[in-house]
Amino acid sequence: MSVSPAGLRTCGREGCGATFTARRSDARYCSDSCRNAANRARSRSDPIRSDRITTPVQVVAIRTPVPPLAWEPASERRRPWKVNEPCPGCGGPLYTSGRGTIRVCLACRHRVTPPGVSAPYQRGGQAVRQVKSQRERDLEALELVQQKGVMLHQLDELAADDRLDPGSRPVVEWFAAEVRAAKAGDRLTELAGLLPDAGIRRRHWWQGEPAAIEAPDDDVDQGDDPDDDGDDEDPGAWPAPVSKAALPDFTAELAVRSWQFLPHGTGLCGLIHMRPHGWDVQPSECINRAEHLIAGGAVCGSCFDALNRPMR
Amino acid sequence: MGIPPVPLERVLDRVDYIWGPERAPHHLLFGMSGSGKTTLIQSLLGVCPEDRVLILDPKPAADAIWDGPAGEPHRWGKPVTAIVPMFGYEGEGGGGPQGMWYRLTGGPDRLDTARRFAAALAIVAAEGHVVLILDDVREICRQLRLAERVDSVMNLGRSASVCAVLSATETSYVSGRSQGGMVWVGHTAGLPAARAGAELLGWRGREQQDTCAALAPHQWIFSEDQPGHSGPCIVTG
Repeated sequence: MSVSPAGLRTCGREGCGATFTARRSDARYCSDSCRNAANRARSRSDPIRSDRITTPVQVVAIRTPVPPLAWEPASERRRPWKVNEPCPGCGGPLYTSGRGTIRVCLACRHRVTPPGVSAPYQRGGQAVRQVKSQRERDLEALELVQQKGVMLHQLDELAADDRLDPGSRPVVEWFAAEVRAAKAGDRLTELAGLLPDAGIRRRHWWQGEPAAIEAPDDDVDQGDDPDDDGDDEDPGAWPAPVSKAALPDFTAELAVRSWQFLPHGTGLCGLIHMRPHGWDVQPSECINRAEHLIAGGAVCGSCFDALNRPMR
Repeated sequence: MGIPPVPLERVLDRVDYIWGPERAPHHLLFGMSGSGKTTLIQSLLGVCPEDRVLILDPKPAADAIWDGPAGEPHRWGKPVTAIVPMFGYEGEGGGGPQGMWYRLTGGPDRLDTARRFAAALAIVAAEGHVVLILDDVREICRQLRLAERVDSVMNLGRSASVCAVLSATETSYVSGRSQGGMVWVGHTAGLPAARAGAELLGWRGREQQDTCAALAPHQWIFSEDQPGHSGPCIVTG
């Protein structure tokens, strides 16, 4: 904006340049439209109106010292260290380094297979040092408890028999105590094998002396005994779960379902569903984890449940 | 959050110091696809030049990132389809700096892949003494249904000298995630994933989640709690 000597003023909007007669002392634009246009242009491009700043302001930043973030944990370089394993060649100490997966004999000057690596095969097993999951441990414990329950039930029935020879009663009690204390199924199998040889006797009414109870002989058909009243079953007969031969046989059920059983020993279910869900599609092999033993191998929980629900 | 940036080389020095059966046997890497998990695994393998290493790569197709450079095709382990007992000590030699690195590859037949991986994990469980790399542990646990076998191997740890690296794109279905003595959280997408990453680091709160969400690809937060630690750090290239 400029002011002429005659009282005329020049419009302050950039690009206008028109002269006008001011009605007010502070008028700077020739019209309202020029004032509005100038205000819009100023607000977009110059948010701080330079014409109102009279004195420059010096801004001084106040800097506070910020300590650098420290990350200095112990990080010494690892050196080879001695392990408590002898060298199979010279008997000297073995050393390892890094993550401890190798062994080196400094005397023999060569790498040595760690004893832990070769141990499973030297013992003749394939996976001697097998760490089981909690679920596997739970399932084994449940199976053991079930086997114990069946065996103890039959031992209790035997002990409650009035005709049991007095000399055999402590033997039955010893067996019951051993079954209760057993920590694994293998021990129960041992006890089952020992029972027929334990000499447990039952006194019959016609016997002057107690008769020895023989182990059951599956191959001999003893026929019907006219004196057999049916309540003197052989106490040497043990419950089925401890006998591997007594594993459930689902051959007929597998045939009805068109399932094939190809146990492969990898810990997975060995069933192949030849017609999955009854459809004529590609056979589907079950790869769930094996949980139940059946005759010939192991199957998963869902397949085992299905086999126990016979199809009609 | 005041998390110090630390160069990767410096962090690897610390890893070399604490990574072992007697201290912190296992790593857990968490990040989305493309976050740089495999690249970080290769960096971690740099501190295992003399160790017996088994890499389980379950992908149906070969991943070129594991291919070595021309003239050194087995730099990141010799690709094999089966692991034999006492591998590395007897039988066919492997790859890596000392010929002790093997990479068990998956295939399009998932049932066959599951069997081969189960057999390999059984050998690892029996023998121990191996650095086990589970590249995409979720695939191994859920798709191949080997969660319990992975659990068993992870439980060995100190007793059988098994050191593991588990990489995962999500934390569900991942066995052994609670045993990661060293945790690496990387680039993720979405707030739930950032929250999962923060939880792996033992963090709780919006600011911590935002810190995880802001991580760029190939950028990691490293955390461990061994004696003498200095808290988490942001790993820079």
